[in-house]
Amino acid sequence: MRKQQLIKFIEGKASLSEQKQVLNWIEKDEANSKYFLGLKNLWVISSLPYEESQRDEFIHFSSENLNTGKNKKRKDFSFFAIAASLLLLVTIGLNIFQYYRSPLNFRSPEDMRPLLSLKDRNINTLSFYTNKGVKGVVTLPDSSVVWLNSDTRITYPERFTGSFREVEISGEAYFEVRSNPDTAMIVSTNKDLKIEVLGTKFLIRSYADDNDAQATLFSGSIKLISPRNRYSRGYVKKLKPLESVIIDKNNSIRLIHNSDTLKSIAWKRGMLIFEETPIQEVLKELERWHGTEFIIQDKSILSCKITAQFNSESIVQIMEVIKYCSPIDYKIKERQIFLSRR
Amino acid sequence: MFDQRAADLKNGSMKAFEEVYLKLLKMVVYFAYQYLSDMSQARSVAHDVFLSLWENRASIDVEGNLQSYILTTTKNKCINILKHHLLETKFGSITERAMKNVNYNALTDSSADLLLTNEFMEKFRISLDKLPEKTKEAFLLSRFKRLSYEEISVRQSVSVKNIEYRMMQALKHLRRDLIDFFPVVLGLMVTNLYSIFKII
Repeated sequence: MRKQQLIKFIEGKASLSEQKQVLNWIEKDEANSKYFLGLKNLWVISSLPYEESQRDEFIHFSSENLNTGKNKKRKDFSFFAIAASLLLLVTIGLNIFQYYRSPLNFRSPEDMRPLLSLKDRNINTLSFYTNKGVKGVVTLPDSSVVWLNSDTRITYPERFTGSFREVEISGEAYFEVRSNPDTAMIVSTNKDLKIEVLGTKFLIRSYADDNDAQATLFSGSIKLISPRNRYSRGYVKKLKPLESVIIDKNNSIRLIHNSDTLKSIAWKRGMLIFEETPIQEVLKELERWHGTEFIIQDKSILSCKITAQFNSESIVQIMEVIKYCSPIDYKIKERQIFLSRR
Repeated sequence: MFDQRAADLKNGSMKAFEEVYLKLLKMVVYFAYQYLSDMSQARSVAHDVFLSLWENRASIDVEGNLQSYILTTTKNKCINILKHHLLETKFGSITERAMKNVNYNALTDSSADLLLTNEFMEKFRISLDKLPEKTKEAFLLSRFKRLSYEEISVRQSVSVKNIEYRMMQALKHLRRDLIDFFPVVLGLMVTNLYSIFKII
């Protein structure tokens, strides 16, 4: 093995086949491996950059993480802080009182919430966001896997501690949860919907700009928890496989037996499936999928319904199909698409 | 070797922390990136490293070298991340896994510890500082800015032959200094260093 080849590999400039060659060479012999590791470390250490960073980098860092220097400002709020903590104490006290007063010790949906939310703990939380037009896969610290559809954010702690595995979702995601009977996973959404699972496969859809949220179970079992609020009594609902629940903005729920699971995770396989879907929903989906913006110039097209299947077609191809099977015409200007009636 | 800035930082000086942060941020990101091959992960490691430096400032050793301390923290964080990836992820191609494995082995190899010692870092820096101004400049331009000899010769307005000579001088000098420092153990490795320098 020539040194140049190894250096090229270390610099990350080797092609895939060259990478394989080097990896094979490393694995062949203990001495090769030892030699390579020394070379790699030496190369890194001796090529460290000594450039200073711009000052704004630090300003950004310190304003987000360090709170010295702001103590003065904090004092002004101390009255509110004390008032708030007193109120909190009273609330907690009342809650405990109520908890012990209830004869059956039944845990209401509100009590099912973890005692602390993600942000209160002293653990780093990780947050990933898939842009419009992009999808992604995330492996959680417990090796559960989550597929993220476009325009979706997932937030979770660097490692799971305590009696729950807490994950926050905004958008659409398919979960394959690693089974662990001792610590349930709690998936909370930006809507009034939480899901408690032990180990299953399920889909959750909760976009901030959608009116409803939907959860679909593929296998195993999940528990939906919707906390009590002004509009509805809290409830806990258990789902069976292939059942799907839609919750609208008034928190009323609709159960669907034999949900079309293939259709609902088509996005995971890179497919878009519409069946008699109102054009407004189609457009919303396409906006997320391709990161484009639709501008409707003729409101009468909103009554159209679309039935079509797309498999990684470009937005132009998709628009051609829509034009073909509906009275809609379109014009593309950069990232905006103008819709009118033909 | 007493480090005034480390002492200030230990006493909670924000100014000292800012200086250290700006001076070493790029270095930490670069180091982490070399082993993680993921820029956003490397940035998040750097973020954690500096946060923990600030939080643990009380335990800084003022007699040590901050750079080596910080890079060692970085190394440990990278090891944890790679270990986690290797244990928990079943995804990604075989090559990807093999790459991660190699990087993990590199970080846990004894050579990483040796190279991250105060002594090596200091020696490297001092040795570099002892070079004549123009030679040092040529060396840094070639090593860190990745300029070709032709480009350097234009900058320094001398012939390419002259640059070649300067590079040779720099390498000989570094080699002598560093071999001096690690008499037996690192002899082999310093020859590697030499060959790396020769190639680049």
